[in-house]
Amino acid sequence: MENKEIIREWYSLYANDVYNYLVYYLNNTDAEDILQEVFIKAMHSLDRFQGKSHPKTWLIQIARNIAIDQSRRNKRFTDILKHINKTESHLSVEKSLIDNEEVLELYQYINKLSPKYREIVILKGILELNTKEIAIVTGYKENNINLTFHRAKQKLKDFYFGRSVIKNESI
Amino acid sequence: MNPFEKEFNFKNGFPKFEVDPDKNEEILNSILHYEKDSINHPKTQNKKWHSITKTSNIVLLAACFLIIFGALFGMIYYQSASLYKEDKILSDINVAIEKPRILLIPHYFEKSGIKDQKDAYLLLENYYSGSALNEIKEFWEVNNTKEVVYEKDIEGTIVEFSMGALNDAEDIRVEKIQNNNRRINYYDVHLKKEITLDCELVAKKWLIYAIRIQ
Repeated sequence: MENKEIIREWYSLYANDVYNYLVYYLNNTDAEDILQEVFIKAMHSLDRFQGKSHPKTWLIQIARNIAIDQSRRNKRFTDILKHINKTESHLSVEKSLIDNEEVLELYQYINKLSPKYREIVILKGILELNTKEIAIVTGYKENNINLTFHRAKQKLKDFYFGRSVIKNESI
Repeated sequence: MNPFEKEFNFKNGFPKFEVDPDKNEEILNSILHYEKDSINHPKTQNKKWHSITKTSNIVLLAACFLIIFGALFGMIYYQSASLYKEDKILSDINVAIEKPRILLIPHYFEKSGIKDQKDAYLLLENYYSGSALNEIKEFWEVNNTKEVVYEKDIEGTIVEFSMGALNDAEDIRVEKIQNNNRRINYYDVHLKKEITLDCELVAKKWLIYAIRIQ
């Protein structure tokens, strides 16, 4: 099968999974451009894909790398923007699409977790990737992922059920 | 509802976001179109490497051209400069002075292989131009049929100077005249006269175009 055909098939099967990951990771529903970038990058790297992991995991791994770069760029951009306008411009998931209050509240707490906790919760708790897949995507050890997820969950429960004040930077 | 969501007693789980169906086709086409482009163009990394090698090749090529042209111009300049050296001028003129002797002295003429006026003209043409060529040629046309007697036939004519040579001359002076031409003044020991030759450079050889005997 030609690369083009493989990418076409993978797109039809996994585009929504990748998009879902990007939306939650970036907290931004405007992720189509990055989704496109993910598949373009996948097409270029397809010859290096050895089939050791599931294509979906591989695509999310690519998406993660691009998203991290994007977050860094966005941070710089929003820092400048905040400096100028004192406002945020992007369309966040929190504000736009989660209309369920309890889910929205938990997602807001998730976004206030430390980057590692947040990432594990998104991948395991929201996107339902198993530990092995998360290990491939993030490069963390499986034991560490389970422990991190457990601790992150505990923190979230404490704050969610206890309604404690959560600090922005980390838990 | 997944186990994580259940732990928080949610009625509804986290929403699943999907790509806008209207945009799906557009995004996929962009991806596949981008692939076509990338087939025609090397990857970014290769492009970068290619551009580096390209730039270094251009620099290398430019350097080679500079060296080659530098050497070429240097050589041309050196050659053209060496054409104006006094040694070169005097050497060419000395040969030119000797050549008419072949025509004038019967002994040399018989051995020269020159059979007609055309041969004589070709011989002179290589060493004379302008009025000097005409005068020597006319002298040849008048005298080529009879034996030349120096005192009677040559004295006072323009070819008299060829009886001497720069080797026997004294007080040789080379001076620059108009159009990069040179004037050679010398005292001919054999003739006991002052000779002045005006010379020009033609095809890397100095030719005599005017002769004065005082």
